[in-house]
This record gives sequence, structure tokens and C-alpha cells, in this order.
Amino acid sequence: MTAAVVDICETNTVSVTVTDAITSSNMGITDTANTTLTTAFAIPADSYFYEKWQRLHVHTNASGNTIQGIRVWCTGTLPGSDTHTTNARTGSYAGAASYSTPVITQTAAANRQTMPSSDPGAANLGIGGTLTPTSNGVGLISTTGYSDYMVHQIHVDSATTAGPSSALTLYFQYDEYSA
Amino acid sequence: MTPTWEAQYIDGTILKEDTHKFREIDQSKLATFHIVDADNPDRSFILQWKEGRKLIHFWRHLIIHGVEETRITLTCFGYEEKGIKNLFVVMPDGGLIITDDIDSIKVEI
Repeated sequence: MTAAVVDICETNTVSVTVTDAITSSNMGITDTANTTLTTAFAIPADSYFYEKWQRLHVHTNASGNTIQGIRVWCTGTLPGSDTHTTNARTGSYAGAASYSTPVITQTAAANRQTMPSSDPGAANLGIGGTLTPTSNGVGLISTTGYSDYMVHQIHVDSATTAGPSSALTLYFQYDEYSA
Repeated sequence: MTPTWEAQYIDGTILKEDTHKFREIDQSKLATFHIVDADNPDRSFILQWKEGRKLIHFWRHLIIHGVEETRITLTCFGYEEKGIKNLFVVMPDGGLIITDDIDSIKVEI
């Protein structure tokens, strides 16, 4: 029995460019995966970073294990009144977000709320549009496939002063049940 | 290396993870359930089996994006009995936590 191979993948641009196995979730002023942080990517107060459209990708799953219970959260301290919002939520989940080209203005993703700052305690990112697996196989991945998109974005508040901020840490958690 | 399981039946038959799926275990025939850590044999352990229990086995994975990507896996074995879960959670460093609530284990970097 082997565990499934799961990565985070990110989708960018109007061309729907999918980058598998990303290794960072850095945000910037370009719509790219694995953004390299440089001062050129600093943004002014009262503006937005590009949205991130990210999801889990189960590449291989030879054993037929079941992937479910996806939780995302982010630790660290945003400067001032900056905000980090997402469609991920444990209640009133809006279903799978349909991809649209990431924007550097306020995200239009449905049902935005503040990104959890700790483990939300229950699934907050769905599979097939639902957070809770059903007996007919909806809401889980038992072969290969993708989770719903986790859309998130940071807004830099108008009162935020110039200068570097401390790094945030983004967590993706999921459970894999042995077949 | 991730710990693996071996199921030993009352009649002595042994099913091993590398050749059997977890769902193939006939829990009505189970005598003992072994969690084997090949790298640290002294950290292997055995669950004595009792009728009425339901085996549990899953992994809890974290993919963490900080300055760089970090991956952490908790390997969970255990059983449910009379609605109560007893989980034996093998941590990345080989340590063992026994709990009825996997969510009580907080892993952060």
C-alpha cells in the first residue's frame, strides 16, 4: 500500500495555465505561480495582490485510498488592517468556484471571508462542490483528481505604512484513508 | 519510513500491508494488529483485538507553504469501540501519541 501522490497546483492567466506541484504561495503583482519575492513586487497601500487560485491535485493513487477533509488556514500577522480573504469556509460553503482569470482588484469569488488563522477544525475546502463526503462517493477523491479551487487574496490597507512585513505560512491539510 | 501494519488472525494467518489492502482484513478473525516501524523496531507496537471494535487507519497530511514548502504526515491507527475512537498517532519523529481526537494534535512549523 502506498500513499497517494498529492500536490498543490495553481491556475493562472486567461489561458488557464496550470502549474503543478507549486512550492510557494507567494503573492505579488504578477499573475504567476511560485512568485519570486523581490522589492519589485511590493504594492502600494490600499491595493490588492493578485488572487491565488489553488487546489489539491491527486496525481497518482494506485492503492485507491480516499482523500477527504481538506482544511486550509494561514498563520502569521498581517500589517495594520490588511486583510486576507478566501472562499474556504466550514459553513455555508458556496460550492466549487469556477475558475476565472485572477484579478488584482478586489476578488469576485463568492462568499469571501477572512482566512482562518488556525486549523478551522473541520473541512473548509470541498471536493466536487461539497465539504462532506457522501456514501455515493461525492466529496472525496478515490482515484485521481482535483479538489475545489481555494481562492484567496490579500488587501493592503490604506493606512499600512511602507516596509517589509513578516512572512505568512499557509497550511493545506487533508486526510487519506487506507483502501 | 512510514510505519506499516500487519494483521494476525486467530488461526495464525498474517496479512501484511505490502501485499493486502486494509479493507481485506476480516476483523471478525483478528487476534492482533501490529504497527511495524522497520527503521525503529523498538517503536513497533501491537493492539490486542477484541470483538466489537472497528479498525481505523488513515494518514493526516500537511503541505505547508512558508519560506519554503514543508510536508508533514501523521500516521494514524486505531479502533472505534462503542462510539469512542482510540487513535495511535505516529508522529514524524517516530513518537507516539494516543488520543481520542486527532484534532487535538496541533502541528505547526
